[in-house]
Amino acid sequence: MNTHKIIDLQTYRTPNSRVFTGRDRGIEVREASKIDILEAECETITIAIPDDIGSINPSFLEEFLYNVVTKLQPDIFFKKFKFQNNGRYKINNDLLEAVERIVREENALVH
Amino acid sequence: MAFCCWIIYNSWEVSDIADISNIIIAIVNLFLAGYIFIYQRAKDKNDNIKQLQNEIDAKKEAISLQEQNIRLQWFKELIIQPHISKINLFYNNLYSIEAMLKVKPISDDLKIDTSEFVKANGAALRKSFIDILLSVSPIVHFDIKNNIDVLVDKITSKIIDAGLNLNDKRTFDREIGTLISNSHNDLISIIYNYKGI
Repeated sequence: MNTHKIIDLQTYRTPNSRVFTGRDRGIEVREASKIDILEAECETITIAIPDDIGSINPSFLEEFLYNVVTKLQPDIFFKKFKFQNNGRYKINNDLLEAVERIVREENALVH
Repeated sequence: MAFCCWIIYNSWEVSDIADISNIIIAIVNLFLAGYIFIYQRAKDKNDNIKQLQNEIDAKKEAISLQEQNIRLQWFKELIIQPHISKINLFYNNLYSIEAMLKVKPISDDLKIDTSEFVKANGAALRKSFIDILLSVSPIVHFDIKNNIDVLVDKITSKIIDAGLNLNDKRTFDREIGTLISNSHNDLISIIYNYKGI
């Protein structure tokens, strides 16, 4: 296993939209992109964010990344997943918020 | 033989038949009295069991109501009252984006910055208030989290995607102000409808 894949969010964006929002959309993109399978097959994964994207909300990211974050835990997740983010919008805050939510709810379910 | 029976039959008098009738009536009465006694005893026993069960149920309900009241009291004192100001701050901050967007034209940078501001406020409310609900009531937690997420998502879409003149007060009120006030009302409704269960 020494492979690298790119998930280009351009492929999954709603036509004429510059945002990724909502849990349902997060689930749809998780399944369409096969991110969970790619995670198991690849050493590193880059998620490419189109330059003209205006926002990727935590509600979307929470569902999109739920399985990989719960499987890998944040430290390994951030080592394995890279975000190609060259536009004006920066994903960092929303990504951290989503990961924090996932971890928190996962902990609440376990205890 | 037939002749003998005929003689015996004819030798019975009315008083004999009355005596036999009395005996039969006495036997029937005795049987009925016994039946009523046994039936009544079984019925009393069932009634007692039912009454006892009702008393146990009433006590259980009273204890459950008492626990519910205690939970509601704690919910109010520990969770809602200390965080009312944070909830109000969140909604007031969202209303304040009207002033942020009062420029012509609204640049792409401003749209993204305003959207970041809205999301940051959502995250702050989650950390300070919504997360606490997870240990109290997962249903209330989910409903409130969903309410805030939907609001943040809709505002983000309106700002970035919709191409609206949000610097116009009437447009802002119609497109975003209504979303904020509806979300606020729904949040109050979720809290109000929590029964402590």
